[in-house]
Amino acid sequence: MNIIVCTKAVPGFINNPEISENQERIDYEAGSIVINESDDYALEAGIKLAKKTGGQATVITAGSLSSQKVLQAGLGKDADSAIRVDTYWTDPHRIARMLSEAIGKQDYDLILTGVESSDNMAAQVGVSIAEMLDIPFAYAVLEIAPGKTENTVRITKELGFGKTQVEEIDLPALVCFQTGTEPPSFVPVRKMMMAQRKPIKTIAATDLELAVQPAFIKILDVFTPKKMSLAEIIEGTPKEQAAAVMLKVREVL
Amino acid sequence: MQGKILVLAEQKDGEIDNITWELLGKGRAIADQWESPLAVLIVGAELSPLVETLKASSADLILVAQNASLKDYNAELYTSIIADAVKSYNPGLVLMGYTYKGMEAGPALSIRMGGTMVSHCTDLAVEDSKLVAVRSIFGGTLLSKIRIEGPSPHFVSFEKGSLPRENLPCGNAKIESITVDPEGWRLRSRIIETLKADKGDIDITKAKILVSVGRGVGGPDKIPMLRQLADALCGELSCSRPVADMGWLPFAHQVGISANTVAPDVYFACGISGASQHVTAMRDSTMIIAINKDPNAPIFRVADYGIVGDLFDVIPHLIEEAKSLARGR
Ligand SMILES: Cc1cc2nc3c(=O)[nH]c(=O)nc-3n(C[C@H](O)[C@H](O)[C@H](O)COP(=O)(O)OP(=O)(O)OC[C@H]3O[C@@H](n4cnc5c(N)ncnc54)[C@H](O)[C@@H]3O)c2cc1C
Ligand SMILES: Nc1ncnc2c1ncn2[C@@H]1O[C@H](COP(=O)(O)O)[C@@H](O)[C@H]1O
Repeated sequence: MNIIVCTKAVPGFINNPEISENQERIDYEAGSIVINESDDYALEAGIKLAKKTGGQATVITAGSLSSQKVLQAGLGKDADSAIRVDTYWTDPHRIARMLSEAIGKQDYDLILTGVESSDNMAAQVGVSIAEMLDIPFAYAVLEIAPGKTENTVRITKELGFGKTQVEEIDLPALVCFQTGTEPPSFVPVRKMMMAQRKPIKTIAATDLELAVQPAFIKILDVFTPKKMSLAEIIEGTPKEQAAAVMLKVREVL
Repeated sequence: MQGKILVLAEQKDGEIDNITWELLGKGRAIADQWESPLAVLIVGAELSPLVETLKASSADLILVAQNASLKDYNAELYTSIIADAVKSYNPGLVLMGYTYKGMEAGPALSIRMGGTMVSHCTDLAVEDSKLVAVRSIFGGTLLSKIRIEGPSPHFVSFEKGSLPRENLPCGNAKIESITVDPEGWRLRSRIIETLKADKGDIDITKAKILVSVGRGVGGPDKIPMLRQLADALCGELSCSRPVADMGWLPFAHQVGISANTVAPDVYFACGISGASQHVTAMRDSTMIIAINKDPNAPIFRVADYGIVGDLFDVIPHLIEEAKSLARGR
């Protein structure tokens, strides 16, 4: 089974967010660049399944040069190849368009993504790619295994409130992976250094048959939730804060 | 008029889920501004009591897609039915929850209809005849205000609990059935079974006080300290998803859309950022007290009282105070 895993490079934390001149993205100083949490689970599951079924695992990301770091992490975890679609776009619709065009040119049976990215928080790119490629999808998946026949996979997905569902899905398919109880593995430094020497294929947006279109959204403002917060912040030493809190608790008990 | 408005209703445990009333309130407000009709779509099996409840809403039309074969939720089938309904009703704006169903159906519908999806919103308004939404970004530590410029229909999903619930005006909605023929669809996925997690003997939904543990506590070795606080308050421990994922506490303790919904008298959020999937399931608590070192953590949006600081500076004092409170009673 040939598997493509979409992994996004996201900032650990950010400073000085600013709306870009074209109002299509938010520029910032990143404290660190990490792989999006649920993508790491997708990556782990994808590489395992590709190995088990004798197929190839490819990691793909859409982003600027700094996003290569997540592809190297993928290669460090033994993905067979890596692709970066070079772009400054960040809006989910155009990112999904780009990724689906790039993935459409590959030989794939299964596409994996995460459930939600920590920066855009849209839960949109995965399912959008599936629809653009007209393949079935499953969202919030916890487990994946080969199906009854060669042309299916068996997945366990969350329905919410403690309910899960087991499904067989026809291939090719797209699966949005959720975080789970089996932690993703850690890549040893030596492997990471070897991965940095492996090639990464770069695709320019102009290589894809994409009509240049403006973003579907314009950003007008960014602000902190403090502006919307109604919480009374309790000041003082920790001892004073604790005493004040317990006074409040006493009121409702 | 900028097009009709459609709300996707949701149900939970055989009742209309509250998100539906929130969406109807927002839908009505925009419908009045646009002088457009407002419809609500409900999909499932055995819908008559739910349709009866929806009649009390301010919707002008209730679209009912009912079929016995829809008893077990199948994302692919549901999405196809909603897509057909959207095609024939032809709305300019579709409102839904940022829920499992909304996360699955929303993006799929927007691509099938050639429309625009904007997800995870906390508000929506019309400004200069364009739709302007507020949505969470960067872990909820920031919010952005955006103008929707993409093609119609526009699909907008909302964090549950972020919009006020509609006061039920006495509506007189028309009811229209939608023919559902599951045999007619060539499904590419098959449900094998639906399972319910075994909770064991712990039921955090009954606790009056919850001390809830987030990833910010740093490790499983810190759990005993938080348990001391819960015990001193005669409460129970609960947690966020990463804490259960990492096995620091069993799944039965988890609060959020994938686990339990709780509404205790007091909810202590300790090192919990306040992601919408967590907050949705605890925001109806009587009193929420948040302790977080990040003043921009979104948990402060729903907290009644906040302490900005390191939780390990405060918790030992809280334990002492709780113990003396217990002695005094
Ligand atoms: C489909 C779906 C379903 C989900 N279901 C759930 C669910 O049911 N329940 C759930 O909880 N999540 C759920 N999530 C995950 C959710 O989006 C968040 O990732 C999760 O809630 C974050 O948990 P957290 O707040 O513990 O961790 P983080 O977001 O990592 O937050 C940790 C917080 O601790 C603070 N902190 C760190 N150190 C300290 C210190 N020493 N003192 C004080 N504060 C400190 C930090 O400032 C930060 O705000 C779901 C996500 C998806 C996409
Ligand atoms: N720029 C990107 N490059 C690669 N994958 C992405 C990108 N953006 C989103 N994804 C994938 O889509 C999932 C959902 O992202 P989002 O729709 O932004 O919440 C993520 O978990 C990733 O797997």
